[in-house]
This record gives sequence, structure tokens and C-alpha cells, in this order.
Amino acid sequence: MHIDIAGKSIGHKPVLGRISLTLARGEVVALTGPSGIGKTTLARIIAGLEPCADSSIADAGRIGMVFQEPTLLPWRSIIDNICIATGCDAGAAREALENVELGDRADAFPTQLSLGQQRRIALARALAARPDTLILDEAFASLDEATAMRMRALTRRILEGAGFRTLLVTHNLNDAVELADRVLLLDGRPAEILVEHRLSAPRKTTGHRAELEAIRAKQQAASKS
Amino acid sequence: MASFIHQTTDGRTHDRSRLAKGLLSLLGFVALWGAASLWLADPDLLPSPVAVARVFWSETASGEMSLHMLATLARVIAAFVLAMSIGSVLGIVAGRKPGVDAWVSPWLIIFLNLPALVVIVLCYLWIGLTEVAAITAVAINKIPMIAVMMREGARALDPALGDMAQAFRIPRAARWRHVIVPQLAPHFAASGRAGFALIWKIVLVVEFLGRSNGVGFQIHLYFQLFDVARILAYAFGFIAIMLAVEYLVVQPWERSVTRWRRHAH
Repeated sequence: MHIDIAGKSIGHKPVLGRISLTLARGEVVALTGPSGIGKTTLARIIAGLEPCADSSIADAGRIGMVFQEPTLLPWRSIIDNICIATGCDAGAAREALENVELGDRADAFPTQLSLGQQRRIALARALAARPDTLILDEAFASLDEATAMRMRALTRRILEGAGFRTLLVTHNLNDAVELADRVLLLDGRPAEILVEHRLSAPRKTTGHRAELEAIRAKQQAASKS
Repeated sequence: MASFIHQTTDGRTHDRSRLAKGLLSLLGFVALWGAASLWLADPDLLPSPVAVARVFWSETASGEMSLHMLATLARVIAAFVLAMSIGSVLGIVAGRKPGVDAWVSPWLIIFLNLPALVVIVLCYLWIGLTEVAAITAVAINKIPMIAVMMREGARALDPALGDMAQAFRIPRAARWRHVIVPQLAPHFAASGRAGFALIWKIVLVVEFLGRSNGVGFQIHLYFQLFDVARILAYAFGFIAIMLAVEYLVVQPWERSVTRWRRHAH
């Protein structure tokens, strides 16, 4: 998938500058940067939710998205939520639920689940869509640390060896280093990709500190220039 | 699970207590009416509840009551379906498209403030003393209110769920059925309930002014004969029908579409 954006303004305010990036099949790319910099705007443009006149998105294929909020239909059961959104059958929906360790909650309603469980359902829904491109927009935000850790571990297991490409949008550099193959740091006004860093050993539980230091060094160098 | 059963039991107890209070309140109304009737001591001006009940049964036994009730009910249903259909479409489109709303809004304000009597008289003058004129007049009176209520519902649609539907490319029909209509359901129920309550009152005025059957026509007839007992018998008979519609149709439907709320923690 190749994304080329000449710029994006909201109202009269330029939010994004020129952005060009390519995601290979099976690759996990983390898009990180300070809150409010334009990460979600970029993710929404890729998902087709935000119009952008000067942009081209090639070979995105079918998109599965996990939003900042779970955005489940509270009046439908969990299994219906998955089937309605993705058009899959009940068997595939149950399989997706098993994948996020919530196979026993298929007939519950979203309001009966905790926020962490709702987030996992949102992930299951995105996976049930059999996406070519998976977009995870701040999927671990507003979770307590224990739940966020569990969600990260689950996401790591799902992303490892997945056949689809993943864009992980997060303001948390630790999450980016823990889960991605490649980290893109968005910064500036309007925002552009300031740093690109390929991890030497993706999704390993060790060596994060060295990767974080390398990214910060690149960020400082880029800021000076 | 235990807490869910506990909540359900609590809910039933609450429903029973509410029903008991409602019945007691109704009995209080009848008692107050009886006391006022005794105090006035003029059955022509305010007959007792028992006298009105007797008249009600005699009108029912003669078949007059059902004949006029059905005529009125048919008009109410026809006007209700027409007003709900046009008002809902107009309101939802205006709520979702600000451009359309800019055009529709001034018209809604004009029609909201047009007295019902003026619309009824004009419809009879322009269309004639026909069934079409009667139903059109009632529908015109109701459409703006339904449109305004549905417009508020359409404006309050959750944009995040709209984004979800768009991102997952949910087909249009499924999007309406599973995403949009459930969000509009409380607004449909509110405008339907308010619409029904007001429509039957306007239908009575329409019948009063220009029809030859129906509860409104009977009230006109007994008004000329100064027969308060029959006026009250027809009025309360129709209120009973409207209450039956509320408890047997509107509330069960509302309960079924808001079933998911009762599953919350």
C-alpha cells in the first residue's frame, strides 16, 4: 500500500504537510507523535473517513479498523456486532472472538462488558473483516495498566506472522517499539514524518530501551536540522 | 448473573408498585368527579361517573358507540400514518443535511404556528367536506411537530458509529436497520406518542366541523342537545381506546427496541 498526501487542512488550519509512506504486506508500522499532531487525521484519510483532495492511496485493499473508542452497537449482541459490520457468518465471528479470548461472550451485549473487553471485541471485529490493511487507532488508550498490558500481549500475538499490513497509531512510543517493525514519528506544524526507524528485532520482549534511545537520538538530530 | 436476576426482580416490583399507584390515582380522579357531581347536584351540568357509565353501556349496546369509535379510529390511524411517514422523512433528511434544513426550517416554523382550526377550515374550503380534506387537515397539523422531533433525533446520531459503518463498508440497508433506526427509535416513540395524543383531538375537531360520523360528530350533536352525559361517555370511551393503544402497542414496542438497555451493568 502506498500513501501520498500533499497536505491536509482542517478549516483554514494546515494539519498535515507532505506525507509519503509505503506499507508492505505483513508489516507493522507504528505512527507515533505527540497528541493532537494529526496521527488520527492521517489514519482517517487512509480509512476513507476524511476527505483529502491532494492524496492518493494505492492498494489499501479491504480495511479493518479499531477506533479510539470501541464504537460497538449497544443494541446488538457481540456476535451480531461482528457479523453486521463485517458481513461474515456466525462461525467466522466466533473464531474471531476465540482469537481475542472472548469466545464465551458471543451472546452478551456490549454494555455488559468492561472497556478492555469491548476493545478486544473491536479488535475481533476488525480481524473478522479479513483485512488487507488493519488500522489500530490508540487501541490501548484509557485502559488501566494491567488491561493495557494484556491487550498489548494479545495484539503482539495476533500481529506476529499476520498476512495483513498494520498501521498502529499511538502517542505512546513504548507501544510503538514493542509492537512494530518500523516506527514513524510525526512532528511539526503542519505535521510531517520527522523520523523513520526500523527495529532490529521486532516484537521481542527485550531490547526496547536501545531502540527508544536510537529513535530519540534521530528525533534530536532531525529537530536540529 | 445473580445481580441481573436481582435487578429484574426489582424491576418487576417497581412496575407493580407503579401500576398500583396509577390505578389509585385513577380511582382518586373518579372519586373527585363523583364528589363534584354530588356537590353541584345538577346531573345535566355534571352527571355522576355511574350515570356516564350507564349511558356508555346503552350506546355500546345499541351499536352507536362502536360505529362512531371505528370511524374516528380509522381517521386517526390514516392521519397518523400519513403524518409520521412525511414528518419522519422530512425531519431525518433535514437533520442529516444542513442545506435542506436551511430551506425546510422556515416552513416548519410557519406550519408549527398555524392554528389547527385555520388549517381545518382552509382544507374544507379548498378540498371540500370530504374524507381526504379531513385527513389532510389533521396530517398537516401534525407533520411539523413530528418533523422537528425527528430532526433532533437525526442531529443526535452518533458520528462515531457512522464512521464505523463507513470504515467497514456496511451496506446502506443494513446501516439503516442496525445503526441508524435503533438510534432514532426513542425519537420515533416520543413523536409517535405525542402525535397520537394530539391527532385524535384534532380529528374530533375535524369531525365536529365537517363530518357526518365519528366521536367528534356525536359530541357536536349532543352539544346542541346539551347532553353532557353522552359527551363525556364518548370522550372517555375514546380515551380508553387511546390508553389501550399506549399500553398494548406503543409500550410493548418501546420495550422491545430498548431491550438492550436492561442488559447493562
